Amino acid sequence: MLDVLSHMFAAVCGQNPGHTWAPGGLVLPCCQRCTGLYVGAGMAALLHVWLRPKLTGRFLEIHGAFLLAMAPFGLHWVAQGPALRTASGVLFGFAVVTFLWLPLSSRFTLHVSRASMRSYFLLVGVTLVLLPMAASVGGTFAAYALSGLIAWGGLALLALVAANVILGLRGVVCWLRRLPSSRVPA
Amino acid sequence: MPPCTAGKDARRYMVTATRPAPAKVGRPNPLALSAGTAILSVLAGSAVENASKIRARASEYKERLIMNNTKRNAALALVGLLALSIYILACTSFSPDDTKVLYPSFDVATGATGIAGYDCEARTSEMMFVPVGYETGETNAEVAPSVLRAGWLANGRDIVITYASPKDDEKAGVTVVVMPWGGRKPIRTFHVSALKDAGEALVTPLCIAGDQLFLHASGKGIARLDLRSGALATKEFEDAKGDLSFYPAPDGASVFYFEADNPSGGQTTIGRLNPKDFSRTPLMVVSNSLSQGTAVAYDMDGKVLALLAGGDDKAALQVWRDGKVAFSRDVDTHGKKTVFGNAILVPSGKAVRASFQQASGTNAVSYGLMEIPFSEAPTREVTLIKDAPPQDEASVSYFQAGVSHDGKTAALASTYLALMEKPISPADCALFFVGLSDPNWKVTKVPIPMPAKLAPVLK
Repeated sequence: MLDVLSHMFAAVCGQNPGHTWAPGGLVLPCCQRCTGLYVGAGMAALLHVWLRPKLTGRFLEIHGAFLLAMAPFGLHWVAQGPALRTASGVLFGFAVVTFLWLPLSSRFTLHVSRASMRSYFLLVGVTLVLLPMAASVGGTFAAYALSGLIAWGGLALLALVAANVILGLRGVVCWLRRLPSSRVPA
Repeated sequence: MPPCTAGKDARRYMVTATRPAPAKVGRPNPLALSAGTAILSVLAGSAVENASKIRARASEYKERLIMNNTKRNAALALVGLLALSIYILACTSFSPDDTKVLYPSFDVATGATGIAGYDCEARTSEMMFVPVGYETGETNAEVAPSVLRAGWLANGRDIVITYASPKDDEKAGVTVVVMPWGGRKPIRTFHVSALKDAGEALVTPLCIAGDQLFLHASGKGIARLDLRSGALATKEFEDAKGDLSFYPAPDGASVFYFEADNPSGGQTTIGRLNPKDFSRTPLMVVSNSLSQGTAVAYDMDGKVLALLAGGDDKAALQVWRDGKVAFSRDVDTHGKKTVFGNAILVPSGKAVRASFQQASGTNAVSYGLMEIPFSEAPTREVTLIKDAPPQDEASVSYFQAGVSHDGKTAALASTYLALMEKPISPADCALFFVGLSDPNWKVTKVPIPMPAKLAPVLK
């Protein structure tokens, strides 16, 4: 399973062996930052479906900050270890999924409560703490569980990207149809 | 009376039937009635008009709000998509061998030569593999010297290390080790015997194509080792006109061969070897015979070949393109005898970089890295080791340069120069990094600790 996943994620991850978790001695299919990204994305997708937080105002500002936080970490402006690399990936994953979820969210009835927002950010924090912990001290079971989460996150991101591309294309087609026809008068 | 129908119609019928009759009132004044009607109609008209206006404005506002939200959502989704694309592109461009450098080093405990890994980001080194052999026939067995060569497999996670003792006889062969950089995985060891001049073959870079390692078996022969299954296949090219030598293709998927034309004595055919069926495809014929001191560099397609010759003659560069001499020049060595170790084409294909050994008078040599443009522009060089004891010209083949995939950093290790008959000083035993993107070619020196007792001299 890990070999297949490793082969698949090689297309989207540098898989730097020095920056890859190996819980129980089993190397995960992608690097520490990408592990954070895909696990974070998978969690975010689940939370958006389950808790359906209101995607406006402060919520989007916070996720914008999560997205921007990747710049100093990804460009190595700040010194970072494995845990911080993973954490930066988690935040980025949550932000990307939130932004990709926006155009789709209008198609669902939003049931919002303050409790759901609190639960959402609580679970973001739990992911930030538990993921590096599981990757660093976990055994073989943790390796398989994390690989499963990575695969789920990858699939969720793929589905969101595909849905957004389809929506975008539909929008373009509608816009083209609305354009006045350029008939030359006889 | 309409027929009684079931359901909604029935209920409506009942409601109509039970509506109370209008109350009887006196006859109204027709004038007052018409005036009132007119006022009421005006009032009602304006109220209806206002209500419809408010409704229209509200729906317009709502529509605008929805439109704005849709636009904002689309813009933010686009930001998300762009950020994800940039992230993926950035992550895949980090090549493992650009952040980790494998180089020969000394094991302090045994004094044997091994392979160490240097983490460019953490700036730390760790010893990874140490083969220890012994000189036999001695009362007190000594650690035998060995030449090691390391490379990465295409997956970027596994390391291939080959080693041979230069003192072994022809049948001793080469030991090949495949080990993971990190994590738990079996370490595979293969021994390929009956290789001619096994130690000498390790002077050139490892020919790794996919998961297969190609080793020079004899004058006209090659051995292919599958590093996963261990399957070994050999091939003797009976139709070859002369001895063959093999070099890895820069794409990591195939192998280049250099076929000397022994009868004519002055031609070399360069071609691509199919790793699957050993078929040879000639790409270019050059009228030079490649002597031992010639350093060669080539491009990805095997269409550009740079030959760099030094030694007693004047150092010169010749560039071949599609079978013709495209450019040639003398290399200014300041009147000093210069020999070249290995050569690498720069990514732009407009210059070649080579490690060199230069005689400084009669009692000392220096080692460094040189860049020679494919034009009359002056060469560029950096001396890394000054005033080293004089050595045989062949020793430069133990001081080779490797360049990162992005072409921005060159790495050279002087480990084997410490095993020569007249070794370099411990202060010069180091892994050198040359920042090629820096205008001044900034040099970073990582010392290689030398143990108190080293393996015997490398010959």
